Amino acid sequence: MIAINGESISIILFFVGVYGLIARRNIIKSVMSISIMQVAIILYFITTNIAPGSAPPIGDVAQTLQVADPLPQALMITDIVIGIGVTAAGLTMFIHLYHRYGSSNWQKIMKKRTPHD
Amino acid sequence: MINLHWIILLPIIFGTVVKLLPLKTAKKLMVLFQAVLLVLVFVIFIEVRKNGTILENIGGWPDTISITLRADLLASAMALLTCLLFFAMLTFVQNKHYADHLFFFLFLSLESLIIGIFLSNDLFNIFVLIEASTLIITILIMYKKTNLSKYDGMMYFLINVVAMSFFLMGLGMLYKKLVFLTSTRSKPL
Repeated sequence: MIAINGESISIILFFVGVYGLIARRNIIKSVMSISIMQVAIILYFITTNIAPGSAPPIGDVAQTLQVADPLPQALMITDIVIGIGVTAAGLTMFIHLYHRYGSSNWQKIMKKRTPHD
Repeated sequence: MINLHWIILLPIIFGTVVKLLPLKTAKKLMVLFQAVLLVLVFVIFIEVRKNGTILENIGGWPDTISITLRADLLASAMALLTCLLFFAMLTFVQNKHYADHLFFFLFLSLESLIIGIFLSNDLFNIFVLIEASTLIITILIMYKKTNLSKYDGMMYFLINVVAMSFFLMGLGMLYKKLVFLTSTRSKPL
């Protein structure tokens, strides 16, 4: 039986995002699905190799027996910033695309897309 | 021989500084700069061929906590190829109407990011650099401002972001098994 922990939840969440990308034609929903995937990745990194009861890796940890691994936390801070940037850039591009085509549907935009303009 | 980080930093610095100059002068200087960069990378390539892999810890930090650049024979050859291709492309865009200051800044930033991808020793750094270069490539695709380029830029951007999400998830799984993400460390911490 699969244990319900951070890792399994994050993998399920990741594929919920993938499903959203495949099944929905709305651009906003595509951007939302990418955000869900990013949150799943953050959850995966944070909960991987976790030791319950370990102390946060801040300040004087010389006396502490078990300290949490600081590397995934440092990496995920970077990923959160990148994720925000990517979402912001995606939404900005969507606004431009919406002004040009008047639709938020991938399929409708693809039909309106002409090579000679 | 110059340090490896200058190969990555120089194009961005030059792309920024060149904005202060008139466009005509900037275009000529750009080709000259690219030729100099090509020579510098060639010197590094020769050095690697003679003496083997070069490792550089940025900022002089110890091995375990620093960002490391690594130029082995393949990485230096790819960096040389990148410089050569960008030299050819900069010569090509000399008389194009879309080649303005912002275009050159983005172009040179892209060059330094691609060289960074080849010289990086850390998988997470590669992710960050590819994500940043995705943004710059998207802007360059949309530079023409036609309907076609806007749609294509958006498509390129989203597909790349999804691909890099899979890459990062894979990186997480690798980290879970190995507890390190650099290519030179042979055993876990």
